[in-house]
Formats: sequence, C-alpha cells, structure tokens
Amino acid sequence: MYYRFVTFHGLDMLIFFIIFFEMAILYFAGPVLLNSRLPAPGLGWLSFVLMVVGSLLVNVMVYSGKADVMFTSYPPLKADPLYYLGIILFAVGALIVCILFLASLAVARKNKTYEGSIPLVVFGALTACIIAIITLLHGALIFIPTLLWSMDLMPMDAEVYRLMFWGLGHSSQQINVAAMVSVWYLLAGLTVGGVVLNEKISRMAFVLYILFISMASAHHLLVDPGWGPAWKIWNTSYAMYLAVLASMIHGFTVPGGIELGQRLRGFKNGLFEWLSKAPWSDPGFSGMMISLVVFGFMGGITGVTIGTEQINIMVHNTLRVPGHFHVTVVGGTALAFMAVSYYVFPLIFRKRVAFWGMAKVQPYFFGFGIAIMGMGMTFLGSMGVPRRHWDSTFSQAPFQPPFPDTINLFQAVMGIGGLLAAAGALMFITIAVVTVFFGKPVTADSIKNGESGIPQGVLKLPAQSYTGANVEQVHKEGAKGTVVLAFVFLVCFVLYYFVNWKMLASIWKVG
Amino acid sequence: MSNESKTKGEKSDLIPIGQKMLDSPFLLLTAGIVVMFVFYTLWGLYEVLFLPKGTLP
Repeated sequence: MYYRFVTFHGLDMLIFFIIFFEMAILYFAGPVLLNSRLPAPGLGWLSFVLMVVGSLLVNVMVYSGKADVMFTSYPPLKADPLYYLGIILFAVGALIVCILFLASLAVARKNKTYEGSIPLVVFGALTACIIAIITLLHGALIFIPTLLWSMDLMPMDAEVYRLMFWGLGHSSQQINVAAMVSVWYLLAGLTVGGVVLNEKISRMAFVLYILFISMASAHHLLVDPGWGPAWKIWNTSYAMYLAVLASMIHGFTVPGGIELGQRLRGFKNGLFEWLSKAPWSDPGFSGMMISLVVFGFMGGITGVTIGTEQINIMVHNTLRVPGHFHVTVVGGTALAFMAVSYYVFPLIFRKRVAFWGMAKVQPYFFGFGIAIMGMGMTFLGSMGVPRRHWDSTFSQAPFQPPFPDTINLFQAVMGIGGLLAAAGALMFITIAVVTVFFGKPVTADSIKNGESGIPQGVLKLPAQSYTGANVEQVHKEGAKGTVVLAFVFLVCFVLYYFVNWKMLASIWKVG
Repeated sequence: MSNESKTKGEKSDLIPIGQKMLDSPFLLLTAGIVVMFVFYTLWGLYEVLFLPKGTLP
C-alpha cells in the first residue's frame, strides 16, 4: 500500500498536476499575452482529452494495484501495459500543446500582434516549451519500448531505461523551473510594477536553460556503474553549472527588478523599505516572494551541493533527495503557480477570489510548511535515513542502522511541516474550486469600490514614473538591497557547500 | 525596390545578430535538442551500450 501511494503521489504531483499547469501557461503566454489567434483550437481540445484520459488511465492502474512501480518504474518492476499507455497518451497530448504554442508564436509574428522581440515572459514560456519538447521526446523514446516490453514483445536493458527515463523524469522538472521563473517576472510586474533590470541578461539566462539545464538529468545516475566520470562530471558539473548560473541571474534580476520598481514608486528609503512596504497581504506577491526564497535559498543551494559527484555518494537514496525536490518543485514551482492563480482568477475567469481572508494567509501556510518539511527531510537524510522505504528506521531488519535519537525530533519537524503544507494545499484547492465555479464576477463597480477578492495589482495597476529627479536617483543607486541579499545567499551557499565537503571528509577516510 | 521595403530592410539590418538568433524559436529549439541529445543521450547510450563485459576473476 505504501508503494502504491508513493507511485500515485509521484506521478500526480511531478507529472500530471504540474504539466497540466504548464500547458495552461503556454496557452496564456501564446495567444493571450500576444493577443493572437490560437491555431487549430480543435487540436487543443484533442490534446486536453488525451492528457485527461492518459492521467486517469494511469491513476486507475495505480489504484487497482496493477502498477506498484513508483514514479520511476525501473525495470524489472513491471506494470500493466495500460499504465505505460496512459503515460504515452498524456505525453502526446502535452506535445500537441507545445506544437500549438510554437504555431501561435508564428501566427502572432505573421499577424504583427507585437513589435520587435516577444516579451520576456513569453520568452520564458518558450524556454519551458522547448524543454518540454526535449522531455517528451525522451518520454516517447523510453515509454513506447517499455510498453512493448510490458507485453513481452521485446527485452529491456535496465541501464538504458534509467538513462532515457531521467531524460523525461528530471527534465520535466526543468520545465517547471523555466515556467516558474516566467511567472516570477509576470507577478513582479503585476503586483508591484517590477521592472526588468536587463532584457539581454535575462534572455541569455533563459538560453542557458535551453542549452544546459536538461543535462542535469545525469544527477540521478551518479552512483550507477554504467557511466564513466567524464560523462557524469560533464553533464552534472561543467555544463549544468551554466544552468545554475542562469538560475542565479534570475534569482538576482527578479528581486532586483522588484526593488527598482518599488523605488520608482517612491519606496526608496534605506536598504529594505521596498520590501517592508511591499503588499505582503496580496497572495500573488507573498506567494511569489516565498517561492523565490524557498526555491533559491533551499532548493538551489541543496541541489547544487548534492549534485556534486563526490558529495552525492552521501546523499544517494536518503531523505535529503526528496528534501531537495520538495523545496524546488513544491515550495518553488507549485507555490509560484498558486500565486499567479490569484491573478488568473480575476483577469481570465473574471471572478473575485473566494475566501479572500484565507487566500491572504494561504501562501504562508503552504510555503513555510514545505520549507519546514524540506528542512526536516534534509536533516534526516544527512543522518542517513533512507527514502522510499515504508519503515525508515528498519525496525524489523536483522540489524539496526546506527541512527541517532535526534531523528525522532526531525521526523516530527517533517510531519509538522507536512501538515502545514497540506493545510495550505487544501486551502488553495477550496479557494480555486469555489472561485472558478461559484465566485462572484469582477465588475467595473467592484474594482472601483475596491471590494474584497480582487488583488491590489488588479484594483490599481502599479504606476511608475519614467522621468524626473527620482528616476535619475533610483537608476544611479541601483538595487542595493538586492545586492546585500545576494551576498547573504552566497555566504549561505559557501557555508553549506563547505560543511558538506567537511562531512564527506569525516566519513570517507582516505589512506 | 520601394522606399517602404528599403526601410524595412534597413531596420532588419540594425537588429544585432544575437537578437535575431534569440528571436528564432526554431533555432533555439534545434539548439536545445542537439545539445541534450549529443551530450546526455547519445554519449550516455554509447557508454552504456559499449561497456566491456566484466570477466570473472
């Protein structure tokens, strides 16, 4: 039963929920933001049906006990052929959406619905689309043979499967990263009038994602004997660090753009007035900022550290791995998607957000909950507690692993964080369902009267001035608060990295 | 050549080559696919498929 639920949780969260949302972002960034025609809407509906049928098929197979293979479904674990067919149908549906997005860019260009280059948010969505195509190609290349293997029509090499699977399994999480960063840029502008510090730099950072981020899939194979150190180190270090550089660029330019936007609006005292006077009760803003911090400080630092080949040997198959990807995928991406939903409801669905008071605190519950849970998992993993085991203390094993008693404390930390996050997730689902299906409409009067359920960025678009003495002074001073935060980040990064090498040196004695 | 198309051509010439490349989704798509497939997929497949068989001691 444990493995059934892990399979269910992994696929529904890491693949279905998140890719559905990303496909919605492609529709939003293409036809909506570029104000262009959606080519072949019938094909769009077909892709939606394929994705729904595929995800339902997989869920039915998992719940009926015919696919207890977990998210990774490593051979020789074998599921019912319909399970693999469901994944293929879902992937084909998503691939069609990517093609429609590219077609919508061509239509917009032909119809001249925009001038010059596409906007940065659309460029970020294009990055997500390209990574999605790379991901889905790997998915097709491995799941079609695996379907045939499950019907005993061909053999399967376990190592080849692992290589190709992670081209899908990890790259799919990089679609998240590109889509999430696009959402950050979008929300920075919508919530506080954030500016783009430098278009060229931000676009180049997205190009680094396109070229190098998918290669991080090799992280999952660092302890596999099938590949040599050159392949492992090239893919997870030299090339992948260029993608890390891209994340650090976005991690600076997004808050830097928010700071400059706030300073242009007059919040220019000291280093952090732009932060203290920010609209923290707007779930669009608070969700974006918590997502940025949790993803950058916790996800980024842990990811780069545990992706180092030598350090990875301490981390492999421990709870540190899920500790890392819960703060990236959930605390980072899912929270950013929740935050943007608070603007999608009034702007696209034309509905006022239901339970507005609850919506204001929801990002805090979810974000802090995941951060606490991820921290608990990371500490547990550091003490050697394994992942993907129904009893992580091995209570019935013939030998007892030497876990310190402190693991009980961190199990509790993980549990408390998980409960807070689950409460935040339930709040969001309640708010989203009630808003979309039963929400009150947004009208000109409701905006004029500032009624509840409409985020402050929709009530009054953040106004900026582009000329005058204040503008000159702001541009001269730059984003000095963000520079301080960037140095705090770098100190944390260096300390965490150093501590891990120190840990490795203490447990792996040479000579 | 009309004046209008001349102006259009001049405008296009003013756009830096780097920006022209970034404005081409299909070039970016091709680059992304080639880099990933060459370094991760094909190199990885080559290593694992041509791994010499271990011999018993």
